[in-house]
Amino acid sequence: MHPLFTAFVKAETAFQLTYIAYFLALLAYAASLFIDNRRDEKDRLHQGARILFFVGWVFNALQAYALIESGSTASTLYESLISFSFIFGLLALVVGWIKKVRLLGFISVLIVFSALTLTLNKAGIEITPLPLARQSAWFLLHVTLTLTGYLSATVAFIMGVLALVNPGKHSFEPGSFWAQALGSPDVNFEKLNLQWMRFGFLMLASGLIIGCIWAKFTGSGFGAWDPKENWVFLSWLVVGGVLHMHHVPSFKGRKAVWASVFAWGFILCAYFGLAA
Amino acid sequence: MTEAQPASTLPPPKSFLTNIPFHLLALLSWGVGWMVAQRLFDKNGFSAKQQVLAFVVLVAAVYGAAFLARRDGFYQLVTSIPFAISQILFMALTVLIELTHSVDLCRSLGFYALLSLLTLSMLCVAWKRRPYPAHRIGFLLVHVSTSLILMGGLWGNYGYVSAFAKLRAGESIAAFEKAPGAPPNIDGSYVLPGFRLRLKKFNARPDDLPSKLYAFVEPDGKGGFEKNPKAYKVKPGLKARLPLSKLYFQVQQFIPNAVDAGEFINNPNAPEDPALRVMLGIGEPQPVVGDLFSRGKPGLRAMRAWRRDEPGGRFAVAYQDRWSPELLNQLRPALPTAEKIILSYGGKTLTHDAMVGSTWDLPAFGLKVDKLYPDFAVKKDRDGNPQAYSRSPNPLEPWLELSLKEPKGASRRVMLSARNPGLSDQLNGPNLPQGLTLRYVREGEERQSRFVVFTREDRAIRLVENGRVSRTEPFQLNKPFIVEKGLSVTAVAILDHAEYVPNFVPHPDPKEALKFDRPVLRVKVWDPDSGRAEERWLDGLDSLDAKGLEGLPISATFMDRRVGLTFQPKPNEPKNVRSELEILDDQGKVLAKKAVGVHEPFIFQGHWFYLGTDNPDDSSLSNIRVVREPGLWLVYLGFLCLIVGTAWMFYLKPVLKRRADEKKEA
Repeated sequence: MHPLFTAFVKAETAFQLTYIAYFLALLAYAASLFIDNRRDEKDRLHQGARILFFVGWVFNALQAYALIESGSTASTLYESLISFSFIFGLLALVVGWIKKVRLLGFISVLIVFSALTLTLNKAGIEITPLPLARQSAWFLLHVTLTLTGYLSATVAFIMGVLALVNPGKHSFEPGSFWAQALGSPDVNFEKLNLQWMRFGFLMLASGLIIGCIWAKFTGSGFGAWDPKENWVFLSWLVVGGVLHMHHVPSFKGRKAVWASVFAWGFILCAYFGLAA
Repeated sequence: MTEAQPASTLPPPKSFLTNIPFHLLALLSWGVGWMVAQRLFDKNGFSAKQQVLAFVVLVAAVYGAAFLARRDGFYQLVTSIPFAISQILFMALTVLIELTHSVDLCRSLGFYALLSLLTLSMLCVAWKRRPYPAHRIGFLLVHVSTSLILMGGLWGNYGYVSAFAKLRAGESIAAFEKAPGAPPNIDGSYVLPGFRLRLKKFNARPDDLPSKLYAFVEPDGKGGFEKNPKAYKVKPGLKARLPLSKLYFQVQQFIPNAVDAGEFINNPNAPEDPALRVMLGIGEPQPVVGDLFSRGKPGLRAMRAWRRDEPGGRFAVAYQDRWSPELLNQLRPALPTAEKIILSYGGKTLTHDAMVGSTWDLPAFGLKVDKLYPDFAVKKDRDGNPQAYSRSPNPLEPWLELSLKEPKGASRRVMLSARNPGLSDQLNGPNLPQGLTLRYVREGEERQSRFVVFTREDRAIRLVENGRVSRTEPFQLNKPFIVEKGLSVTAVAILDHAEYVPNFVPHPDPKEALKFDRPVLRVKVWDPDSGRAEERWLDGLDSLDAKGLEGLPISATFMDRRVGLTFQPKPNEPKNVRSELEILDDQGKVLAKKAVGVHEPFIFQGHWFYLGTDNPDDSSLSNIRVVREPGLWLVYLGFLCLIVGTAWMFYLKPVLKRRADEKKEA
């Protein structure tokens, strides 16, 4: 029997339901992206995927509520990942509700599903305690928002590279994979790059601020950041600088896109700084 | 921000406004100039308050002078976007230098000077872009936010207080000792303004979160256990079916404050492990019974020694498989051949000399041997605080005192006992990094001069005095061997196949039981089909012992290793404390109260009270820190403006603007 399966069988019922719903949502999103069918059929699949994602998130919320009730939202890695998928899921649902981009929904569900799979795959995840300072809802929120900021910057990087390869407006065949995935046959990668940079900037700023509050609660204060926090601050400054470039005629366009592509390097450093 | 409009009497050259390398050079001069100024301030003994005042006055003077001298040019420069980009890049560069060179630039006046320039730029831009219809409120909020953060930061720096106090339950205090360190938080005391803090209750036990039972189930019993167990919240009578099997389990008994009442029995089916049960002090009110193991080796908590000292220390008793004259070399007084400190962490063991004054530099911390107490004891000093001393120069109870220093932490005291390592482990627990064990070992030391040796093969008892056999008698059960008048030892049982049978009982003393923290469970696992059932004790200490090591702790296995159960008493280390704090006015009336834990501060009138972890010297004392940062609310307001403003600019502005345009067209 595969270890993932046995770990799944041993998991709590709410976890099992969350996992199943997220898995089905992932399949439905993949089907809506890849199955070549009539448009209304695909829309129904997309609609179904969004409903399944929401259902999964409701089960996830029940788990998070049980953790809050027990007074421990992040005392172990297991609990922190449950809480992470709950916060990230909510964020992704809100963005997905506004944007209605299938690819975005697919990636979001993939992230929460991977987080839960990690809980099944990692040894002793329910037992391994987190350091006391990390057993805080502020810390969870800080990590979730910061990671969302990194992910957005990564999407911006991909859009930036595509913008450099395909400058200006790009038209896909209506009904093609990319037209379906991105929600429109007419795409301007430069614009998408700017939109994702903005979202990343907002998420990084929120993550930094929540990090400051978390530091204050642990007693160290926001003036005593460690290198990881400083890297996030640095990345945020760089992203802020790049966003300003879009307002200068001499930098606007390709130069600003190049700058956003380079800014991703700082994000990478910040991420590996966090992971180290 | 927007591009500066060409409307000045004396505009600066265009190249200056867009020349980013030139901007960076100017910013470098500005920042470095302030760092030099700070060095001068420090050299001339300026306090932090004086430095902040001087900074504010000088910065205002410089900006004022620049504005008066080149009004339009200066205004255009600080409101130009390329200059804003330069400033952001320069700040990023400063953070990068701080990161790569481990220097504290972000809290220097140089960095504050850069922030002040950025603030000025943003305020000027906000001024320039007025008026503010609804869709541009976000822009205003973002550009005002840094000013709020900077002002709050400077204000906080000006009036920052961090002070400490040690309190016992029921005590109240108004004056806290300021932490020595960076100004303005100079040494001295800080008095709470018009109120006192009382520690109503102090509880050094961990939070009352549920204890958990983890079930590892290997259905076919062929391999190791799965990595992730099924978790259950422990409650008396808990009964459940184990996953992936037809087996059931039930919690039969839960003792939160158990004492070990297990014993060795002779189980002929167990492997050979010869032991002898002896009784010392016959005729005394409380004779001592203990087991000696002829192939003695240290075991997990069960003492498996081949020799033991008589409780009064007047002789030692030993058990051996067979007699050998070479044993005489061991059975005589000897000084230690080496004194060592042994460090164990993550399955690795390191050894270092235990000489007083020696230091040991390790990657995560450093150790220094401060003092040796040959005959350790504790007395109370004038203030009633416990103080270690040596009763005599004889090495009767040798203890070492060490200091453990982490790179950024304060020095912590560690005490190591050579004779009773379990006790020093317990004492040092809160002071040592998780999973680390330190031992003080005196190799080759023998303090006894008189031994009673029982030998299994020839069934003889020998009295060995100063390395010579002085008497030999046949070894008979229940017949006392007289060492001298009033001093005897009696073998009461032979256990050739000794097997430990664990058992636990609640702590007999209810008062002591409250301090005692050893929860145990008795669990039954059964197969309803075959009727087979097994019962075991699960000791909460087992899971604590295994922490920090690779692999997961399994407290006990059942049904031919097909089921493993681990009892996790409650959240693991680090040990949390929960206390009730109250704020009292002058008349003793309670103004506010809160139950707090570590990292859960109690906030009252701008004062943040933090609870420290255990006080290693006195577990009844609680460390409390008070922090006051007057400008904190301004900083948080700045944060709020930044987030709301950014979201407004990016997401609300297009909607509001479209509506405004539609209205205009209509």
